[in-house]
Amino acid sequence: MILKATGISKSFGGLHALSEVDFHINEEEILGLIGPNGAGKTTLFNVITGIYNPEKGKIEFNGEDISKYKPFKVCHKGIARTFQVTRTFLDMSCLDNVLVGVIGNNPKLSPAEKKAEAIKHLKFVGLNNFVDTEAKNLTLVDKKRLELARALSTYPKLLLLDEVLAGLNTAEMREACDLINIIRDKFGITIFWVEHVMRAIMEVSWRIIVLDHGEKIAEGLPKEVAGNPKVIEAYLGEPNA
Amino acid sequence: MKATKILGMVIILGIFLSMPLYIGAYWLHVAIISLFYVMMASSWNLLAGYTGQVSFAHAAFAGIGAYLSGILAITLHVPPIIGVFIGATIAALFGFALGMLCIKMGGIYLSLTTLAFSEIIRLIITNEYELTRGTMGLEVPNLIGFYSKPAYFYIMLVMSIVFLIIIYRIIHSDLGTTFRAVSNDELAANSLGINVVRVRIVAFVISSAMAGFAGAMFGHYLLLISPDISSLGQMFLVLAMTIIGGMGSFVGPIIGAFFLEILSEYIRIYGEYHVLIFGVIALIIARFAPSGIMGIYRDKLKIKWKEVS
Repeated sequence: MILKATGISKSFGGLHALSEVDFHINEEEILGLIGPNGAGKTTLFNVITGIYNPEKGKIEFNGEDISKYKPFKVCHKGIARTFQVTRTFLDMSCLDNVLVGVIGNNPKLSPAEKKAEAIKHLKFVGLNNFVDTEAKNLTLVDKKRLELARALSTYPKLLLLDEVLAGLNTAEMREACDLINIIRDKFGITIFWVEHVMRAIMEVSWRIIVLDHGEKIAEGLPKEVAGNPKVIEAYLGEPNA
Repeated sequence: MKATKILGMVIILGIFLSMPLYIGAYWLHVAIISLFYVMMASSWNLLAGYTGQVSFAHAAFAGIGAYLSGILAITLHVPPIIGVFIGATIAALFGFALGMLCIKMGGIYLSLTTLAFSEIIRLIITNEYELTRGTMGLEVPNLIGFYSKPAYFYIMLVMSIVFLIIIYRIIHSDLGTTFRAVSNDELAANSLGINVVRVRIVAFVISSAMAGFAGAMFGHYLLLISPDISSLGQMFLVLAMTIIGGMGSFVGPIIGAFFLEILSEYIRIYGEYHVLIFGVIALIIARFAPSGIMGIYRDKLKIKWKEVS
């Protein structure tokens, strides 16, 4: 078990974005997170990565309580993420974008080693021809690739992906799913991802968690979850209503 | 490319070094003031242009440096050469405190807080007349013990070059990369393992130390310092120089400082209208060249480069 969360609660004013959520992530698995809009998926990511601190509950990463850590410290512990709406450093080159991750986690490397590291990760995601391109000039797909390269440059043990497939066409989705599998198989990085494209998340994930109105309503193998009446109700509404 | 760059730098340095030989005392005075503004605008650019913290307290830090060094020289007879360093250190401490205060703020809130700080400093300097002699101005001793414009010109030139080398090295280092990352997207930088709070504070401390130092140096040249040095008018001049020259570029503030200082000498004859002319220039630049004079230059260069390739 790489991450264990117990009783996570977080509210914004009167809105309970997360209430008493328990879940765990096994080492080197691909865990999917689904739920209707506003279910609290991104909030859960933000709580794990330290952008918000949970009001109640505890998050343990490799046995260490990280629930009060700031984002940069969570990153140092080995959790990296991408964002639902891409947050690349728009005025900086792709190389510099990835360099930030290298500097943040391996500050002692020499400048040449840092650059080599960054280029290695850019190559991995297929951006080797855009090393000096400013991020604002990239297409959406390439911005997503850049975010992935940036996240990988921090050498995470756990990678959180927030709707990486949104806005991609079928071929690009295929490629992205392959990449996710490669990241797990080749680097042994555990993956926890949110996705609205059901076919993709059902196919790639080993296990799935379902959130609705800030509560965990189901958990299990993709097949089990897809057939769960509670899940179907959350997405489609009550039968005979 | 590299050879031409070095040649260009040598020529510029040559022009500057020989300046006292062919320009009169009046223009030498203008050159010294310009060099002061080069230090001010470049160090403000490091904070505002690179980390995106648009602080209005830069002139206040210059005031802190100038008055502290001056008062120490008068009351405790501290040699000004040591005084300027003490002034810079205290300005850095104030910068640290102000930076801490502004940690949770960004954009307009940070600007307003620093603006208030700047006004507080100006009011203190104006009203503590027993120590600062208020608006009458404080007479301070010369930095080097004797009065010589060419000598002071060379001192300011060397200090400006030292400043620019430090700033150049910072923006081309890892620290500079994290500065830009924080200004682009603080949250993303934080999630990538960058201690954003520390980066922002470091920028505040470095730039306010530089402003304090520049202010103290300038004070010991003027020999009479008034609360004007920490006024918002002074601040907006530094801001205009940076923006007109090109915020977030290394050369921009240097060009902006010389351009506006020399220009203001020419339009001085229009009296009150010279503020109006500044305003019009700032408007034109903002409309047609939002990234300043350096922006125009860079765009031209890019077009040329495209034509070649």
